[in-house]
Amino acid sequence: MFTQTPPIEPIAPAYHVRILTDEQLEQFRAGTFQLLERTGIQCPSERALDIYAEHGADVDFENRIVRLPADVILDALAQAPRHYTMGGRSEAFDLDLSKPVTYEATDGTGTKTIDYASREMRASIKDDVAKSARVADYLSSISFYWPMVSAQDRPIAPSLHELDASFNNTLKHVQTPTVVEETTARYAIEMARVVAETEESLRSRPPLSLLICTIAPLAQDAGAMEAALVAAEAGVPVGFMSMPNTGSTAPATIAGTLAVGDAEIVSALVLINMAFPGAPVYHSFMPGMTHPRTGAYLAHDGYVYAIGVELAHMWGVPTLAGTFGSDAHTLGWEAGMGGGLTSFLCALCGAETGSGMGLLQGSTLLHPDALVLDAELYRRAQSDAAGLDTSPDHLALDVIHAVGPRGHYLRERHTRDFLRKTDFSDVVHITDEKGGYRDPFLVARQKTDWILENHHPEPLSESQQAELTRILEAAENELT
Amino acid sequence: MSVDAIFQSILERKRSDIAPLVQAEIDAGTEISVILNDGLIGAMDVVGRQFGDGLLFVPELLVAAETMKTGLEVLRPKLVGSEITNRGTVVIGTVQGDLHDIGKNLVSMMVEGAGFAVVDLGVDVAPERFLEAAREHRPQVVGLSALLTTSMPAMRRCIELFEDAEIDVKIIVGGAPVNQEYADEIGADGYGSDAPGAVRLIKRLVTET
Ligand code: B12
Repeated sequence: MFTQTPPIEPIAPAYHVRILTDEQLEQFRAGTFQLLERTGIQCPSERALDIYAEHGADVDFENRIVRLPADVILDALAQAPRHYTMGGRSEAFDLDLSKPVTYEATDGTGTKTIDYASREMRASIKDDVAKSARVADYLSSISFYWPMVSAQDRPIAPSLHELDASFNNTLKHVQTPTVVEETTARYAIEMARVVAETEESLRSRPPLSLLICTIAPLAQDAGAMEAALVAAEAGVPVGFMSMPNTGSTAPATIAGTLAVGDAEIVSALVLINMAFPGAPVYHSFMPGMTHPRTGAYLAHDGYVYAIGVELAHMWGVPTLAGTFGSDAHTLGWEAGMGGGLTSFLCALCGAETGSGMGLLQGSTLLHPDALVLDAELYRRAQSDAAGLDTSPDHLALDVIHAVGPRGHYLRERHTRDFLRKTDFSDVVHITDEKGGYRDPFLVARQKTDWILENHHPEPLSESQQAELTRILEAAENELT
Repeated sequence: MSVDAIFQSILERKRSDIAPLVQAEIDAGTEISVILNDGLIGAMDVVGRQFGDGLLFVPELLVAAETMKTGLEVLRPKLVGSEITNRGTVVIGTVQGDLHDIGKNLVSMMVEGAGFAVVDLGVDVAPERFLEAAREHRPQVVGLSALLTTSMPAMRRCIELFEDAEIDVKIIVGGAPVNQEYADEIGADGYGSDAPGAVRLIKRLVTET
């Protein structure tokens, strides 16, 4: 027996903000043109170098530096679709990027887990992916799923095991940040084809997308770019995330960090659309900040990620925004600082997608209850962005007239109706027997436990499950 | 005393001042060990303490270390063949398959700042290259950095290769997903959770040898 997966509820902003002026955006566009034409990008992949050269880039094969004139960049980007659909297992879970909403995902791929049962910290395993996928499947705030941790108990092809656990435990779209070599990419796409069922549906609503990091400053990784090319050829969306670190792998200014990061991302988007014109791609700017006294990796304030959204749109492609993600060491006040506000800002800037819910310690630690708690912050952002219904029923002038001065509304039918329609949290403001409120951390823990016990999403068909297992075995044989 | 001036130029991070100061001191006949220990290493000990106390930012530490290194370069010809050496040599790199180097660079920089000669092999370093570098530079310590769970096995391969080659060197490991338990499991000689920890660890291992 399986349980229904609740529908996804993306953030649907009723109003928007702009952070950069047109002039500032133009400065960044010109900056990227200048960096890519003058400084160039290092690309260690032979295959990619050839593609660049065939399409008008100035390639220094010896030093593996690619320089891109502005018209070459624009020609390639003109091919990239502004919108496309990232598929769920069923259409109800498709992410239609042309809709004016922001879909959010879990964070990934951490390396440690606080065990769901014993609550002890340990290295992450495949079962953690399965469990967190089920929790994510249940939560409406989560529209798509990143394998949250690494399947370290599967030393051969862990990234494919992460996909196996994901596809088997959620109906939502899966995006992977760990498929970064050509061979694993081929197997990953075979797996996606099994989930999609037909070649047509793999292309029109692919259930998988890839996330590839560029290497700040101004470089690419050979294996990862080759994986990206494999995905693009199959019609599987691939995004490029740049993570320049302000003060170490990027200048110590936000504008300089944006300039480095944007140039890297654009160089990769261009490559994909040179090789496969029209291939679905996305832009993802997720910089960090160097702790001035230790060099540790810290998250930036929210507006920095929201500017990334504006840059993506300037180039005419969708974005994956860094909306959550905390460097806090434990659950608590600090862990709640960034997520909701950053989500809110990115949504108001029109982000199509965002990720980062549910991990602590700079995206390295899975805490069982963090997803449920982040979902609360998400709800807040969602409601703050939703605007206001001012239809007569909501404006309620007749009720106000009927109650009159100094009356009260408790006994009105209107009150009963609307209070029932109000979406109250099931985590905060939960009353206890003493008339106070329960500790939200305990409520979140209970909710997580409840989900794990009671929510079992519709499984893949037996033949699909068997196919995935066969592909995994083939991959393990090849990669051993 | 102008060893003081050398000392000060490191504290004040005057990268372009130090070479002539060291040269002048050599010309004046000051003992090489005094220039090295009281001037260069002494100053870096203070810089290290200031950094530990939170007074210095990372890029300031880096430039102080580079200032010291510039001074050391002037001194180096005098050190060759003499009894006086720096604190020791450390070969460091990010293991095969891994391109993360922010943490490894920090460790390199602090170890260098603490008076060790550091040979940084960069990223995506194959076990064979670590071995080659160990044969060439004869370090007391080899440091392996890994940020990916998928590149951690390359640490184990590296340690096995060193064992087979019977090279007498301490191998230490670090990087966010690595911990003491894993270090013990693969037979590493030590684990450091951050750059100051790496320096303490290396100092301890070097005195032990
Ligand atoms: C910045 C970053 C990047 C940058 C790296 C830039 C660079 N030049 O290094 C970029 C964007 C290039 C990148 C790429 C990728 N990354 Co990355 N990255 C990170 C991130 C966010 C921070 C790492 C960092 O710099 N920390 C700051 C430094 C100061 O800390 P540190 O490295 O831990 O080092 C300290 C200590 O560990 C210790 N130490 C370090 N080395 C040594 C060595 C010795 C001998 C000793 C004693 C001590 C020691 O001292 C240091 C100083 O205090 C981490 C997440 C995280 N929070 O750790 C992910 C992370 C490591 N990356 C991850 C992934 C998945 C990738 C990619 C595969 C993504 C992709 N789809 O392309 C690629 C892989 C590229 C490759 N082949 O290596 C995952 C790894 C998951 C896993 N299973 O292991 C992480 C955990 C993020 C995540 N949650 O998904 N990444």
